[in-house]
Amino acid sequence: MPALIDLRRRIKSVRNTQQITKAMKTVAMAKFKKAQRIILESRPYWHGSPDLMAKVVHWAEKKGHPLLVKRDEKRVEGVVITSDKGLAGAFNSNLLAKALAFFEDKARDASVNLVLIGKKAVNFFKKSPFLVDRSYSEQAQELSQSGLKDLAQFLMRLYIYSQIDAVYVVCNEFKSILSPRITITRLLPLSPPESQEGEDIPPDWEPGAGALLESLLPLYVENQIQRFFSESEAAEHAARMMAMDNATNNAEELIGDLTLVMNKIRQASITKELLEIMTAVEALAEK
Amino acid sequence: MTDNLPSSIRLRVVSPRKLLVDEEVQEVSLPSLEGYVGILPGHRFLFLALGKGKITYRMAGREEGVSVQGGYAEVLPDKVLVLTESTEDETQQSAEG
Repeated sequence: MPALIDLRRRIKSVRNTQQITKAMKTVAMAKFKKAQRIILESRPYWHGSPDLMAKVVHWAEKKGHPLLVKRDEKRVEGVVITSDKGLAGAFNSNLLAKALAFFEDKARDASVNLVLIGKKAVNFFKKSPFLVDRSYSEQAQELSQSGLKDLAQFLMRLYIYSQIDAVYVVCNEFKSILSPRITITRLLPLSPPESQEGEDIPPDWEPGAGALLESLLPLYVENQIQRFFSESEAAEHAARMMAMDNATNNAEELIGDLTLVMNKIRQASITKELLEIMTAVEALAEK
Repeated sequence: MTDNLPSSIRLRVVSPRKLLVDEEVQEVSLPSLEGYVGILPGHRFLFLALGKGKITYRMAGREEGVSVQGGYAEVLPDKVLVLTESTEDETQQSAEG
């Protein structure tokens, strides 16, 4: 039977852990609310921008653009977005497993280079055979708008100079609090969704169709990267919130169990002492 | 065409951070790269690149405006959609925050 003092110590340490997880949950919740607000407020833009791109491409297609050219996938560039910190349940491990499987499949008939965002991705792919072009760790959460823009321009440059034939982005997308969704998206070549509206009249342009296409498409790519990044961030905080909530509940349960055992032991020792006293009294009375 | 001209335009101005305007308006003026373009209901289908300036719109006697730093506009006879990168409002907000 464990000693009373050991149990007390264990309960105390579990309680300390619980306090930490509770605090982390609160922090994650605050960060998540902020990230969620950003995503919700930017939804109209994400809804509108592929649509506009599709229409512009539809009408300006004859002009053509290097970012729209499809080539055989000989050299694939993969972008993997994870978080820096763990303690977010299966958030990173699920994503990394899926990314690895996907790129291994691609590697069968193409060479695969990677761009990694987040410490977890960097550590994970250290052991893999893929070449890493760029990696952002530690400061990934602070990766500013200009940093992402720079990354987008790097990818577009490689694509336009035919250094790579396709760019795939693997990241967590914020679907709901309960479960992030892992998405694999082809970023380049751009494949605009089919425009549904059957406008027959060709539009006017200002400036010309070619010029508009030239400035709109890079912007679209930059915005996409930005979007993936904020989606991943929101999903990360949501995942951490859930993980920490579970941890807090588990700690509560554990404390309950341990307290029960502790009380039983204490009760047993009291009963034992009482018995001893009683026997002593009985023995004295007989004399 | 003249029989079924729409009487108003649905104006939506969105940035990656926010839905800035969503209104039924009578008239809107957009800052194109080469000067302001006035849009009335029933305008021709037009793609427009925007420069730095102010989008002003008129509705029911009121006139309001929002500043943009550039962007793109899709003009349809009864609808104007503006996608903009940043607005002055936002830069002010971030300066305060």
